[in-house]
Amino acid sequence: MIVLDGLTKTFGRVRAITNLSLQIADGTTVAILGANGSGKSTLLKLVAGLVKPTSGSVTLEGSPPAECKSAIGYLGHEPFLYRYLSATENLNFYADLYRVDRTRVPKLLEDVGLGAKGASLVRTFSRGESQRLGLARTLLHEPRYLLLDEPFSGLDETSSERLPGLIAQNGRTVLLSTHDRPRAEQVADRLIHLTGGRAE
Amino acid sequence: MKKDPLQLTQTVLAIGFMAGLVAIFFWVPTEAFQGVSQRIVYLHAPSAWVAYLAFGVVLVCSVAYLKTSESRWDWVAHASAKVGVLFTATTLITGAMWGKPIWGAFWAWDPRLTLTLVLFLIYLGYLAFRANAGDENRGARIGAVIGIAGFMVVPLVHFSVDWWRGQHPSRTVVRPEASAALPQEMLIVLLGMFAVFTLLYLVLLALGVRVLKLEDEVMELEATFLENAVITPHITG
Amino acid sequence: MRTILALAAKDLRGESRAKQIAPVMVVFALTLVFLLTFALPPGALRAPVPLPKAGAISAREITGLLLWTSIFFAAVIGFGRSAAADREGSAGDGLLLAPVDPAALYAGKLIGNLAFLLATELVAIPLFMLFANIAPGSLLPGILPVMLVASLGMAAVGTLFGAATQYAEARSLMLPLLAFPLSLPVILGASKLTSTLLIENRFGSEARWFILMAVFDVVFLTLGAVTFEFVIEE
Repeated sequence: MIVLDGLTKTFGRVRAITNLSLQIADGTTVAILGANGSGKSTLLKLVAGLVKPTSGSVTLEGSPPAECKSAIGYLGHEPFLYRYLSATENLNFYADLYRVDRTRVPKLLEDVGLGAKGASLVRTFSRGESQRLGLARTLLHEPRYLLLDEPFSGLDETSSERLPGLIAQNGRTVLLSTHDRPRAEQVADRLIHLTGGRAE
Repeated sequence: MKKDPLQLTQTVLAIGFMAGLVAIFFWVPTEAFQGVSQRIVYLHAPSAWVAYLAFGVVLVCSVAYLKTSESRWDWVAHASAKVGVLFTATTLITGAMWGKPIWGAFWAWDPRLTLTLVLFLIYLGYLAFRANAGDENRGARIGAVIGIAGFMVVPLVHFSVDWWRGQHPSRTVVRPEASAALPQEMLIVLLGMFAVFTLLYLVLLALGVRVLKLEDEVMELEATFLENAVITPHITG
Repeated sequence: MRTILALAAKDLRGESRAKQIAPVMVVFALTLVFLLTFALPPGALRAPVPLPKAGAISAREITGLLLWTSIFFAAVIGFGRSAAADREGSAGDGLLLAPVDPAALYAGKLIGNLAFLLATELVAIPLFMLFANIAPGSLLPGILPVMLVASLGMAAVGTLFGAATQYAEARSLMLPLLAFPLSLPVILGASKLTSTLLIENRFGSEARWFILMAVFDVVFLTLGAVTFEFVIEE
C-alpha cells in the first residue's frame, strides 16, 4: 500500500504539492488527472523518492521510497537512458544495477516492440522508441510499484494500445499521470484529480 | 519594546573597539626594529584568528547540517563563511600593508600568508557556489560538502606551500607574534584585540544568521501568498 | 564491486563511441603545454644532469608547474563533460532510483575519470617531452608513480565536484573555481617531483611529496565516498 500523509513539496517560492493525504491499495491502477502544473509529476517523483518532501511523508509498505528501491519502477518525462549506449547495453547496465538476470533483456525488448533495434544506439531513437525503451527499463526488475508519468505521450496508437497489457500484472500497483481522460478511464480502477497541488 | 541582547553586545563591541584603537595608537610602545608599522599586527593577527575560527565553524556546522538536515545549521555555516571571507581579506590586506615596509614588497611568499590566500579562494568559491546553486536545498547540501573539504585541505595546503620553496630560507625576517610577545603592554593590547575581534565575529555571525533566516521566512510567506493568489485551473469531467 | 565495474564500463563504453571527453582533454592539454613551452629557453632541458648550462636549473624548476597546470585544466574540462553525461536525459536520476550505494556510484565514476585522465597524460606527456626537448631518460620511469598518485587525487576531487556543480548555474565556471584551490597540494606535489626529476634525475628528499599526495588521495576518496549521496540527491 502506498500511503501519502500530509505531503507538501515547495520549490523555492512555488508550492507544487500541498498537504496531500492519500492511500493507494495494492494491486490497483490509479490515474492522476490534472492540468499542466497541477503537481502530477512532482507527486510521482515524491513517491519514487527522486524528490524529498518538504513536510509530510510517503511510505510504501511502511517504509520510505529510499529503502525499497528495488520495488519501485519509475518512468518520467525523460527515459533515463545513455545516448551513446545501444538499447541492449542500456538494459544490461540497469540489469546489473538492479542485480537481475541479463537474459531477460531480449524478451523485454520484444515486448516493447524494439526486438530489431537492440544493437542501435539510443541517440538514433525517435521520441516514441526512447519512451518504449524507457518503459522496458522501468519493467526490467519487475517492480511491485509502477509509477508512470504521462506514459502515453510520444507513443503511437499501436504502442498506446499495448501499454496497458504491459504494465498490468498480478498484484502490481500502478500510479500513472495523464491529462487524457478517456485513456485514464480505460486503464485505471480509480481516478484522482489534482488541482493546484491538492487532490479532490 | 523588548531589549535586544544583540544591541547591548554591539554597544560593548563599539566601546571595546574604540578603546583598542586608542591603545594601539597612543598607549603601546613602538616596536624597536619594525617601528610604527608593527602596530598593524594588532589588527592583522586577530583577523587571521577570526578567519580560521569562522572556517572551523563552517566545518562543524556543515557536518551537523548533513547529519540533521536542519536549516539552522546551514544558516550558521553560510553566515560564518561570509564573515570568514571578510576577515581573510582583512588578514591579507593588513599583511600586505605590513609587508611593504618590512619585506620591501606587498606580497612575499610567506607560507602562512599563502595558506590564507588559498583559503580565501576556496571560500570565495563556496560563496560563489551558494549564489549560483539553483535549488536552495541542493545548494545547502553541496555547500556543506565544500565547507568540509575546504577545512580538511588546510593542513595539506599548509605543508605544500611550506615545502614548495624548501631549498630557500623563508623570507620572513620577523615573526609578528615573536616580536609582540615581549613587553607587557603589547601582550595586553594583543589579547584585548583578540577578544574584541572574537566579539565582532559573533555579532556579525548573529546578524548574518538573522538575514538568512528572514530570507527563508520571506520565501515561505511568498509561497503561501502565491498559492492563495493564483487562480488554479479547475477541470471537472 | 560488480556494480562499480558496470558503472565504470558504462562510462568507458559510452566514451569509446562519443569521443567527447578524452580526445578533447588531450588536445586541450597539448595546446596549453605547447604554448607554455615558449617560456622555456631552447635546449635548457636537454643539458646533461650534473652540469646544467646557464638557465637550465630555473627552466627545469618551472617545467613541472607548466606541465601539471596544463594537465589539471584539461582534467577539469574532462571531468565536467563526464559529469554532464549523467545529467543529459536525466540518466543520473536512473542511477539514483537504482538500489545502488552512492559510494559505488562515486567509485564507478571515479574509475572512468581516472582512466580518461591517465590516457590524456600518456599522450600529452611524451609529446610535451618532444616539444620541450627533454631526453626520455630524465623523466622515465620516475614520472609514472607521480602520474598515478596525482591523477588519483585530481580525479577524486573532480568526480565529487563535477557531480556537485552539474545543477548549478554557470556550472562550467563553478567546477574549476572549486577544484583548483582544493587540488593545490597535488598540483604542487606533482610539479615539484617532476621538476626535481629534471634537475637531479632522482627524487631525493622531495620524495616526501608522495606521502603528502597519498594522504590527499585518501582524504578526498573518503570524503567523496561519504558525501556523494548529498551531492547527487535532488
